Amino acid sequence: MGVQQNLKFDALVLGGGIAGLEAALNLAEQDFSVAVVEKDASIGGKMIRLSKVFPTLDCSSCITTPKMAAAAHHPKVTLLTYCELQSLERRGDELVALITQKPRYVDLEKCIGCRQCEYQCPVLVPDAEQGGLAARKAIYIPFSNAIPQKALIDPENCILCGRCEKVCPTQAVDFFQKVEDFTLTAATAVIATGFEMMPLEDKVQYGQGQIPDVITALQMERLLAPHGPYNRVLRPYDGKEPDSVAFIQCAGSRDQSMGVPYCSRVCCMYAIKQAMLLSGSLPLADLTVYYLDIRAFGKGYEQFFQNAQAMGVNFVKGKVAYVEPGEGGAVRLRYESQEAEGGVQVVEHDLVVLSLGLLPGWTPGASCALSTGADNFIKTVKPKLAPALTELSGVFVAGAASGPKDIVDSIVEAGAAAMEACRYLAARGFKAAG
Amino acid sequence: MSDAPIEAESRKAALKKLIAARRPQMIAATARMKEQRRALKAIKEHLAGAELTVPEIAAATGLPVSEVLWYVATLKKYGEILEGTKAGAYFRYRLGQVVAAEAEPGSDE
Ligand SMILES: Cc1cc2nc3c(=O)[nH]c(=O)nc-3n(C[C@H](O)[C@H](O)[C@H](O)COP(=O)(O)OP(=O)(O)OC[C@H]3O[C@@H](n4cnc5c(N)ncnc54)[C@H](O)[C@@H]3O)c2cc1C
Repeated sequence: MGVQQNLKFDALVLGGGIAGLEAALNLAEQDFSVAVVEKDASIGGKMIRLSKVFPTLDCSSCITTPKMAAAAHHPKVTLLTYCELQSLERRGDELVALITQKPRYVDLEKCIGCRQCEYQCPVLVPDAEQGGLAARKAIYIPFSNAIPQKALIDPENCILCGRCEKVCPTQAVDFFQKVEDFTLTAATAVIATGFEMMPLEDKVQYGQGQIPDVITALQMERLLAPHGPYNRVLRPYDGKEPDSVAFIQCAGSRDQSMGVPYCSRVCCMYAIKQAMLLSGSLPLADLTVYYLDIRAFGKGYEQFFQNAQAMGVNFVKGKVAYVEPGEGGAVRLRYESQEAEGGVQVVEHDLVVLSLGLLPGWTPGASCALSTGADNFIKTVKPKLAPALTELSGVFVAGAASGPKDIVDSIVEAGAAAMEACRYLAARGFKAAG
Repeated sequence: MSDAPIEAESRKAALKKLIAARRPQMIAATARMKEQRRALKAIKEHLAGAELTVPEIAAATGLPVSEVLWYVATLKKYGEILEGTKAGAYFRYRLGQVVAAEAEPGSDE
């Protein structure tokens, strides 16, 4: 397919998570034009999908949505969602990105986000936004506070029955949309492609995703979120309110045999957070965190850990080796205790949450001359004094794209990356706001 | 002759082409949809006039219990069923008003 269009901006931000949005807003506030290229149908990254955030326990969507809206409404920011980056290369003074706009099969301009199509659609599909624990339709708006609040069709599940088209009040459904390629030229770029959780399907020791009551930490975030799949915490096996919940730390991280030798950095804190939130919603439940070390490194984090202990969360030092289905939906867990009793212990819990290792959200490979470190995250050339600098001149990195990190560090880095990009632009004669 | 019928004709041809191109996915998706319809119908039938927990619905319908929860969560999301009172560690579910009215004898369904 031929390239249709060429868009030109001062800066390109790759990834519309919290780091990308923060970097884009900082650049836009300096009067530079910015394009945010996001692969998903909505901006917001992982943060918009979280329940509450450590250590403040702010409602995550309450503090992310205003940032998303600010980016969407900023006259200097253009959001390009549902776009796939094909390549990014330097040509003289310019960075040229080849981007594919994936078809939504819904006209973005016409769709008013009324969801009538979604209610009419007869096909149910496991909703990835809810960790697969409930369904969406084949035509759907990704989630209630998605930006843009526009529908899209999943062609793998659409049966072309035409109900959505008939009910749409603005004739926005367009089954004939096609993939469109375009180029985007910018003087500078910020890579903010974040992280993904390691897949569970190949982890034999954790049940390969086949044990309903063994879930990932991101699924637990959804269970705890107000608009989660059940609007409360129930075990996915049968809808029972769990009496005992276990968290398995370093489930994949700090383990060379699973390909992630590094520490994923945020798991201790989010597991403590989730246990604290559970102790609020399930006050009678036993909550146990199986850990190797607790890494509470940030401001206020140690206090947060101590609060969890004071609230009755049980911390057991030990390495969980294996989980398997127990009786009636329970999960049997085998671990090597490093507590006084020592040895291999076998216990059962109603629900088990895995703190799986974090992997890069994007690896450039052949699409871009950026290199990665041994951990496969984007390599930074001056990690101490200028952590936003990459090997490619004019290309900066922010947030979890350069390694697992929490929201505070992602925001700080996004500010640093935007500052580096502003300096880069100013040095080349681009004018910042006076 | 007006443009409209021509447009309608070419649209029809384009749709035919699209259906041909997507046939394998459509066949698979239609089969899944039919299975889902059967499950949803069974769940709603057992909830007509009753408030049941997920394991009770599973026992009544013969569907796997975790599958029932998936459907119940989905029906709840789209307003077709409501959460009711608690029975031990489980919640009971009942039909929403619109669905309950449709399930009344003599209604169109
Ligand atoms: C279970 C869990 C709970 C957490 N809880 C907390 C908490 O309570 N407090 C806290 O401080 N931190 C928490 N974190 C960490 C927090 O999620 C991260 O700090 C934060 O999301 C990092 O933001 P980011 O923008 O760098 O990356 P992300 O949130 O991953 O966003 C990256 C964005 O880039 C997009 N993208 C990726 N590749 C491409 C591409 N090639 N082209 C275009 N777009 C692309 C993605 O779709 C995504 O939108 C938690 C993490 C997990 C896993």
